[in-house]
Amino acid sequence: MGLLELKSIKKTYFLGSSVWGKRKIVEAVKNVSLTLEEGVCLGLVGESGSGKSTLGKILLGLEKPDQGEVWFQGRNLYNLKAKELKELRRNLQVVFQDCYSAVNPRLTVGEIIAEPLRNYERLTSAQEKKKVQEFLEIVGLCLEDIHKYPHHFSGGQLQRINIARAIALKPKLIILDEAVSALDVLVQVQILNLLAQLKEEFQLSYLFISHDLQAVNYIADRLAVMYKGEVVERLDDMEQLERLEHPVSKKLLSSVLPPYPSGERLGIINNMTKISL
Amino acid sequence: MLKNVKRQLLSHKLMMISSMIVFFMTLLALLAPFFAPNDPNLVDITHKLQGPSSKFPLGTDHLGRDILSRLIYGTRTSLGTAFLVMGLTMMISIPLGIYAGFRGGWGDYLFMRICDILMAFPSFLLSLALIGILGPGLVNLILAMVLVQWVFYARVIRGMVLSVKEQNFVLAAKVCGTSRLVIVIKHILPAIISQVAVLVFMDIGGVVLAISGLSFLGLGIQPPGAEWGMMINDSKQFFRNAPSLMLYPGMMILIVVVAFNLFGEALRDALDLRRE
Amino acid sequence: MEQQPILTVNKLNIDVSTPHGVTQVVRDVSFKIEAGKVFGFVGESGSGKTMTCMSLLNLLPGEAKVVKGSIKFRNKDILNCSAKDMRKARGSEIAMIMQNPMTAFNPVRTIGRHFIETLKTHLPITKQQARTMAIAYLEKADLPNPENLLKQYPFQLSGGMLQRVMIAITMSLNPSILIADEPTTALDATNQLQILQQLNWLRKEYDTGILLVSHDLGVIAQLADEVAVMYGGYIVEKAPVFKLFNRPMHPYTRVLLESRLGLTRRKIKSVQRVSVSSPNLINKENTCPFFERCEDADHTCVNDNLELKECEKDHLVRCVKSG
Repeated sequence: MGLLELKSIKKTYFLGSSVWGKRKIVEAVKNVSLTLEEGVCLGLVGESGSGKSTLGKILLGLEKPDQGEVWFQGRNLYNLKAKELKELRRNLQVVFQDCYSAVNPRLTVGEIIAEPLRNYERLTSAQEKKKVQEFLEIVGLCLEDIHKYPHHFSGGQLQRINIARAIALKPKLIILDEAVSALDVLVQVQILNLLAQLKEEFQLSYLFISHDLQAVNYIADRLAVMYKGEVVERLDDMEQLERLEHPVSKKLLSSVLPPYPSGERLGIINNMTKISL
Repeated sequence: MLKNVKRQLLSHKLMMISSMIVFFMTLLALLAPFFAPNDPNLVDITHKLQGPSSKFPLGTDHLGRDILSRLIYGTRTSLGTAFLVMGLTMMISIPLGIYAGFRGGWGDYLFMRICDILMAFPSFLLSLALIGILGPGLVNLILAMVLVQWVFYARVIRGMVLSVKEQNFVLAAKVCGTSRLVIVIKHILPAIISQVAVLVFMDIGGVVLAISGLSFLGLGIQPPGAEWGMMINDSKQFFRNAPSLMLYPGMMILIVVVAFNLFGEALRDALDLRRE
Repeated sequence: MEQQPILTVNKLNIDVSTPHGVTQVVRDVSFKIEAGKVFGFVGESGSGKTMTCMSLLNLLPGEAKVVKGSIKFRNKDILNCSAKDMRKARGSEIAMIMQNPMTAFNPVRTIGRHFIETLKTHLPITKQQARTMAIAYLEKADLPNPENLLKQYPFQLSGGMLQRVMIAITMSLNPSILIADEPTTALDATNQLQILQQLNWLRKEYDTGILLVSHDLGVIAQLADEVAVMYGGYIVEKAPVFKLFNRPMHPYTRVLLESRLGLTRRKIKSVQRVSVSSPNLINKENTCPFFERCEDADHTCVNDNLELKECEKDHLVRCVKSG
């Protein structure tokens, strides 16, 4: 039994008016089953609109699926009393893509990182401050940053703050929803390194959701490829990335640009098998 | 570039003037007995319809009452009532708007349908009808206005909550295990409160106008209390002999409405809600 | 054969006034774009790339100002151009495609209306001619089913599709210069190649000079002929693409090159040395912008008059330690 188990999850959205006119049905997630073992980083790749982010929200307990079950630490996430759910949430955290909107602009960094601590632990303000500073140090920020507001920080620094908040309760699983996609290349690598280091330090598991196969490849141990609401391919050994078979996975693979300019630049494009999807 | 600077200066000037008027009016309302030279309700038929004099700086009305004093006391009635109406409205609208927006579900559905029904009627007519049922008087006027207004504000606040609720920091707070009540108090309320304040100040002029209108029709403050709308009503028969009797309260209404409106706009610019 | 450049930027300096003081966002930037060539701009956010692009179109926001330098388009001085001339030049002579194609389209207008209106404002043709032309260009851009595409609304298309439509529209006006500001950043990786391919085709077929701005070296490596690396408002290194990738001279370029992920699983350690904070751009004359984050920095880097020096042919570096 894994840490997190998804059993045939289904989620459909209805767009447009329900009484007048046509209703547009969007099957965001259809019949997804996934297992995530403890200590593993599972990469979930797919194009935008493939249902990755919806799936992320479902397993955070933010969006109830139409069908299927989410089992986390052996408990069904959508069949719990409020108190039990709160206890379970402790072990399930998130880092969003948009680091700017993920922090309340009216709170100081100290208050932002302390928020989960205040919900679960009874600390004196001195203890709390000490703990927050400890986490600031872990994610590579200065101790003085505790009194600053979010607008003083760059995207990469804000993402570090978000990570500090996510690890504050020492959770078991963190959902990283495109956590590095909006950052500069250099900062991306720094954040990915930080995440890898934290994973060892706190024995975390990650679900790394991204459209960028390079970032996923850098950090993930296993891979699942999503397309139009379904998981179309799985890979348990990242070393065998080249052996992906499904056309969608191949398309993702071929979209990774080679790191150096070569004699026949853009040649890959011409040779690329045109996959009509 | 130049245009920009000019606009900013202009808006600063307007802001200065409007906030000064707002401040002065509030002061006038709070310290009416101190500012007023005479008793506003003292009837003295022997001095009726007099022109300006040292004892009565703006003259007297048809019952010989001092107009300036009545105007000053009228500020107290009009502004006081308007703030009371707005305050009571917000006490209903803020919790209900937040509840409907944040919780959603059937409560929200029910709320929206009530809104649809109440907002189908023109609000002034609706308050007229309500006063008609309740009977004229200050308390009933306040009650009627609050009962009609709250729907509109609750709906606007619901909209604000809906947009804040989808922000990632609210989702992140949920994931952190923060309870709904704490999310509302710590994340949602601070995010909308400045917008609500702007709304209140921009609309308070309208409330003053509505109160004066209802009083003009004899449905609000009852004689002998001083109120601008009622003063206009009282003086309309003497329009030919003493037009200034109508002019003064009319001017007061105009100044208050415009000043509060500009103040609201200046407040919005100062808080820079659009850039947020 | 030496070609006459279409666009010449010479010692461009841009200041932005903020409530905290004047920020020098672009400093001493010079480059040339030739017909049919792609000039790449690499740098992190806040390095001045976007401001430079905006100044080329004379579209700087109110608080930003060109304080020094010149921008010459053929023989016209763009900075002193009248508003009317500039409007005419925009689109037909100098075109721009944005990072987020979603915001470049009006959501309530069809693609066809966008396309036809753009054509009609710049060319003396009838609506029917414009329509035929639009279809022809969408076909040239290899977009499927152009007739149907014209009837669709922006929200019905994916970001990648919209960006390709945007390029098709740009193409139809046959501009001499195209400024592509992070054209693939907001898009899925799978769309990236198609966009690059289309840009490549554009410069080959129409001899358009392209200014390609990106923070992703992979994109630059694919398309650019010459690359400038920007840091803290300065061009810190400028070289032909192969030279830059094979022999990076500036420490920042080296870190950037080492930080590319690719598909190998080796861990990249060098980025750790680069500290977390961004460069402070306020009042910094004659100090290396990379000083605080550079691993090779020492006392010789301070108060030295930094110039962009040629250390080999066509390879310019702004670092006292190079050469």
